[in-house]
Amino acid sequence: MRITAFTQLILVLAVTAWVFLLPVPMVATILALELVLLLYIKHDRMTMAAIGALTVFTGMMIVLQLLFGSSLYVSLTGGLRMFVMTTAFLCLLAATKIQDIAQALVEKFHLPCEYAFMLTTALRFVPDFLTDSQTTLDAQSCRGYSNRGNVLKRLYSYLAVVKPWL
Amino acid sequence: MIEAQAVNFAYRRGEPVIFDISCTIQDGEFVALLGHNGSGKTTLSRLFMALDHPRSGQVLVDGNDIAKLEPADLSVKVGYVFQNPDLQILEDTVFDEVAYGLKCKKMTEGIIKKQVADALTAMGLEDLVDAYPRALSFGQKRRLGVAAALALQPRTLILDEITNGQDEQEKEDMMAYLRKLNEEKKITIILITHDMNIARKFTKRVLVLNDGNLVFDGATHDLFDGKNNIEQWGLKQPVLSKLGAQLGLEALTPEEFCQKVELKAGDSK
Repeated sequence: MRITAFTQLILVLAVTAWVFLLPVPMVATILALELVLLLYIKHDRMTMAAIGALTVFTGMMIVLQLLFGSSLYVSLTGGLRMFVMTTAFLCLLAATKIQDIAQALVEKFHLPCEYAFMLTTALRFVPDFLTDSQTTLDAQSCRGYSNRGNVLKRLYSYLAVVKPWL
Repeated sequence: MIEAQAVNFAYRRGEPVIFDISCTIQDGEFVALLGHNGSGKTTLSRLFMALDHPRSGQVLVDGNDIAKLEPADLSVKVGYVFQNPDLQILEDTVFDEVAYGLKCKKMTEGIIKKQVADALTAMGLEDLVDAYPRALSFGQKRRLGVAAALALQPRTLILDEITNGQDEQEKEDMMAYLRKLNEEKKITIILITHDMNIARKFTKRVLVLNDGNLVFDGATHDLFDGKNNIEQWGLKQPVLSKLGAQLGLEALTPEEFCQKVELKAGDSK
């Protein structure tokens, strides 16, 4: 059974609303379900990389919130909500063609074609971007780049992967 | 020396793409890795560089299993040059670009200067030491990629489609530099290519992959002598080889071929 792009978009919007309305344990359950679903739909290197990057980004967000004076509880729930919303979007992208999403946005949500085009154009670059980043990472590894050491060291050395794209 | 022992490989959750390949590439060889698109050439070469690891079997570099190693660990033994040079350029001068690997290995200033100079000279880029890498021609960028790998002084170079996107002169220049590296510095060259003429003219041994299987491993002239039906593996016989096989002549260049035809015609008169 296939769920249409329209239904999936509604689900993503629903998840976005639920993360603010439901209690934290329920939100955490949604996250677990989403991760299982995502890995069931697509269990490849790119998906793992996306989950990894999202985890790092969430961690950074939690740290920043803590640094700016939020309590640990608020920081963690904020991070969790963001993670759940983004993972829902990743599930949508993994399960549906970008063209189908654009078509649903235009036909069902009456989004102007220009905005749908902007969205599809932006999303179209994501797989290319991930492929290129992997190639760059491999190429720099072959020249001695190693992602070892503490977090700061790793972040600094990762510039060797980011710089060729700029 | 690179040795593959009964190597099998499949990408995660994918169909197997390399089937039970065993081969040994000795030090100082100039080898071509041929095959149609998707035959497994790049995949096999990635296994040689520890960019991927076999599902079963072993890859040995200088007799040591590389299953637990990363490409960075191998970079002083094996250099790998990717197809797209733009995806690895990160410094603002040719010198710094070539020095990147040596800085990663925390070499001293003196060693860096010497090894960069040697690598640039070996690839004919010594006059471009302060040039902005992105402003170089495509052929120069490709030579820069080889120089960057060479700076770490590996004993083996794996070059993925190194002559792609270059004009005939640039191809000839590139291959002349590689031949020199192979003959004078005894560096093992593994050339992944679709260009049968390059393989025929410059390499001494050929490995042919077809749908993940090693279907030919032997001398280059044996592959192109007309006795093998190489079309069945998605390869095309170079015109000169075809003519040579028909006439019972062996020649690497058109000039040599013409000379031999003239001699044969003279003999028959």
